[in-house]
Amino acid sequence: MLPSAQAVPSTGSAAPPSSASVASRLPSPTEATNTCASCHSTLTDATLRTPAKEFLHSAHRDERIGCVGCHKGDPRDPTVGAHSPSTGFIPHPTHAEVPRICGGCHSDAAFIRLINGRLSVGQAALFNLSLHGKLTSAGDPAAPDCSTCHGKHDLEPPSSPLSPVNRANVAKLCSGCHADKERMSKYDIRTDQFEKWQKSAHGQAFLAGNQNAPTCTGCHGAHASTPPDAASVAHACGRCHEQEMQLFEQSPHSQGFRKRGLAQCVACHGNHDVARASALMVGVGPDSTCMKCHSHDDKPRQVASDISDLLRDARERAAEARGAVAGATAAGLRVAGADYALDQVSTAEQKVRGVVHTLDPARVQAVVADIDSAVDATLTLVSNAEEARSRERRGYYVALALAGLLLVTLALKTVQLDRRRRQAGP
Amino acid sequence: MSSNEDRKEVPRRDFLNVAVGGSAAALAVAGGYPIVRYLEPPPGRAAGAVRVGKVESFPVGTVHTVMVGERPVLVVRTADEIRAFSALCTHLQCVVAYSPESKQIECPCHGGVYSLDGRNVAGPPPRPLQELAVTIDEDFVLVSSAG
Amino acid sequence: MSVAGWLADRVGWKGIEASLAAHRASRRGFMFHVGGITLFLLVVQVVSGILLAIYYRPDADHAHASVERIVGEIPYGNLVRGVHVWAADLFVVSLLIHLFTVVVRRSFRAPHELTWVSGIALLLVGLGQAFTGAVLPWSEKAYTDARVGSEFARYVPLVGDWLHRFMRGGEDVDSETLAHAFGFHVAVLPAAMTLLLGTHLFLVSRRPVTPLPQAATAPTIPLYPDFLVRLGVALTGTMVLILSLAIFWERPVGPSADPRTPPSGGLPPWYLLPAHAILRAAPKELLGIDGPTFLFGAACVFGLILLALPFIDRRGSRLTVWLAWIALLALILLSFRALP
Repeated sequence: MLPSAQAVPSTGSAAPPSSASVASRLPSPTEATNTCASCHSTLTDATLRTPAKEFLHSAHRDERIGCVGCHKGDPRDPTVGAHSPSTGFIPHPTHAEVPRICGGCHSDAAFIRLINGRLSVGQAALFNLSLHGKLTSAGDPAAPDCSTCHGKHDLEPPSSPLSPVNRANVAKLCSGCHADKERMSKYDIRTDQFEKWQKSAHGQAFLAGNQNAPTCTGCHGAHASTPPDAASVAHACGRCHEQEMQLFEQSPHSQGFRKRGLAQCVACHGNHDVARASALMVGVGPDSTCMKCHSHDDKPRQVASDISDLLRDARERAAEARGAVAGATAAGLRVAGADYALDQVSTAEQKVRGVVHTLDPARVQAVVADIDSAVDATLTLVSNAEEARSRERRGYYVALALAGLLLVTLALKTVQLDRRRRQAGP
Repeated sequence: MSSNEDRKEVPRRDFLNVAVGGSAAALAVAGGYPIVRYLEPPPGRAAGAVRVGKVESFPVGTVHTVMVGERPVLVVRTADEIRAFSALCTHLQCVVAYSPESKQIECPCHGGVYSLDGRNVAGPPPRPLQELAVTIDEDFVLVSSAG
Repeated sequence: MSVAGWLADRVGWKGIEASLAAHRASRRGFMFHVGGITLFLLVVQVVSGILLAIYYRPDADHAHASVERIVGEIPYGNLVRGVHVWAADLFVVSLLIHLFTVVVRRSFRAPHELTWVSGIALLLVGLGQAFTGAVLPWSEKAYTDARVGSEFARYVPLVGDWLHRFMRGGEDVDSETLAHAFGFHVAVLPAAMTLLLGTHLFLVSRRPVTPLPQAATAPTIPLYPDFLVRLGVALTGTMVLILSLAIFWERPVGPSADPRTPPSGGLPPWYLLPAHAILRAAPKELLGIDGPTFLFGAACVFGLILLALPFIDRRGSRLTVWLAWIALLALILLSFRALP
């Protein structure tokens, strides 16, 4: 038999059941029957029939789980005796009960392992850490429980594209509530996140098909979803942008932001609307992010200006390399190794974008020197190819001249032979 | 025997023959020069397979980073085989490295992770690492730099 | 005695010179040089091919990269490959022009039947060389050429499936195809070419070309030195043409072929375009037989007629000339129809 309602662990952790008691709770495959569906699917009342039909496709349709996995009751009784209270039957789990019911199995590692060894456990505990969980267990009907996101009777595993929590669908799922002004007004939470995300570099990458790009859960987590606070947002960004995070922590901004309670990363790059960082963000110009705070500070202004100049130099040199290769290719020249050389330039450019976070012009200069040498290597390749071609052309013209000479002498020889034949007579 | 007339004619005929022969010979030399340069062993970076070390310097269960030409390459030795992969991450071309603690190949830029057979298993990399052909010649491991 | 004189004596030049001078050739007509130009192009192919074979790797993993290396890194590699690619096309064109002029001048008549037959065989071997050679770079174009070109083989009646497998070295176009193509291109076909060419030239020397009745009184010149000097002019001009094309008109290798994601669609090599047009225009059924097979069978019959031409048209009638012009026009039109 399945774990009954009384045996469900509460929000804390319960001792994991011994394997013997788990085994005794599971009916053997030949004994397991699910008579609920056989009766409910014939009922005329749609609200009673539809769940049974939907459940046929559910991820939970394994007979060892079945309807009784959540609703309890007696699955072997084909009569309405199956509904009797003595069986612990729960016809309509309340909002607050849902996480406890789901957690009954999904926090039981030994049990889950027997059903599907690949699944993780502990989601209920994580959920209770989140604001979603706290509100739901307090009974707030607007907050989500497990079924709000995962589905109910027609629940699909997250790996299925039909599941609302599948990576491709997460943003739509979250925005279903979080973009709803009416719903969110109660909690004083903004509703522009989804819209901003769609326009952001992350959103654009995701919508262009790169499912590795972050969607809501990538930064906020899933079950324990919590907006990162000012001090910890760098760790959210740093999950992917690890280099930048480490470099940032070596900069004076790291402590400075912490002292003033400023959000790392977000203060300069924004959060939901984060755009592709442009070199114009650095420096003393009108679009500069630095100047938003430092417009009147001499030393920061100098640092910003220095770094901005270095970035400009790097940009120009990289463009020089790319232009040289493009020009050579357009002229029909084959520059051997050009792809790899330009890759080196791109790698160095990528490094520069990272090292800017240290705010140390010396370190930026060191990386810009890498760009310089990569660019020089590229330009050498191009000029070698051009030189080889002009050598080839010169050789061709020499050969052409000699061929012309040969043609002329052969033609003269022909004329001479003809004349000799004519002179020799018929 | 040659008479005076013959002697007068012979130089002219000979001259044209010499002219034809001479320009043909010059053309042959002009054509021969590129052929000779073509046949000389090519200068600079040798393509084809490069020796990266003796087989025994890659013990079983290790991953080493070597340079093939100007590219960093990971040489992975498992119990059954030696494989080589370009050490350039397929995400944004940063150089990946083996982490003995986690027994996998990791990219320091954005946290990409590859298994020991080059497959991208976590993080942003969209494709497995490019595999390079490995041959064993006598005691040496050769890695193809042609990719 | 001069060096030249010493050599001449050792080689027995006097006898050779006399024999060469005794042969007479027609004084006028570029058509008489086409055979020599074809032979010259073959020599160019052999020389440039041997040079390429030094750096080329004949296995599917390295073939494309080795060609890219020749073109990008080896000094004058670009030139050698350019010459080989252009001379290949010129060789096929020259073969076809030579065939055409022989038909039009009706030089296939007795006693030149064997010369003709060996010539047709040479044409087939030459086309085989062009086909197998195109596969070797293992680029996307090479792959497409191999695949589309060998698809036609299916429709040849009777031996179609066998020919299909033979051309591909198996069922699909894969590394086996490349291995087969290489073996044929550098060994089997050159050997066949050598034998056939030796036969062809021997027969030509034994039985110099019979002029047409109306040209019987046209002035002739000795083969040596007069005709050969003129031929020298033609060959030098051909060489200038090849070099100019190789230097100024790039034939890019193109991206590497990936048999796992093969390029879809595509055209066969240009000399197979007529076959491609026939295949596309073929109705589903003709007289109860599968349409394309019928038409290809008809083409094969045409080929057999061509082979047996000296025995069919013994006197060299005008009709043959007319048919030759019509066939040429038809092939050109079909080729253009095949283009997208």
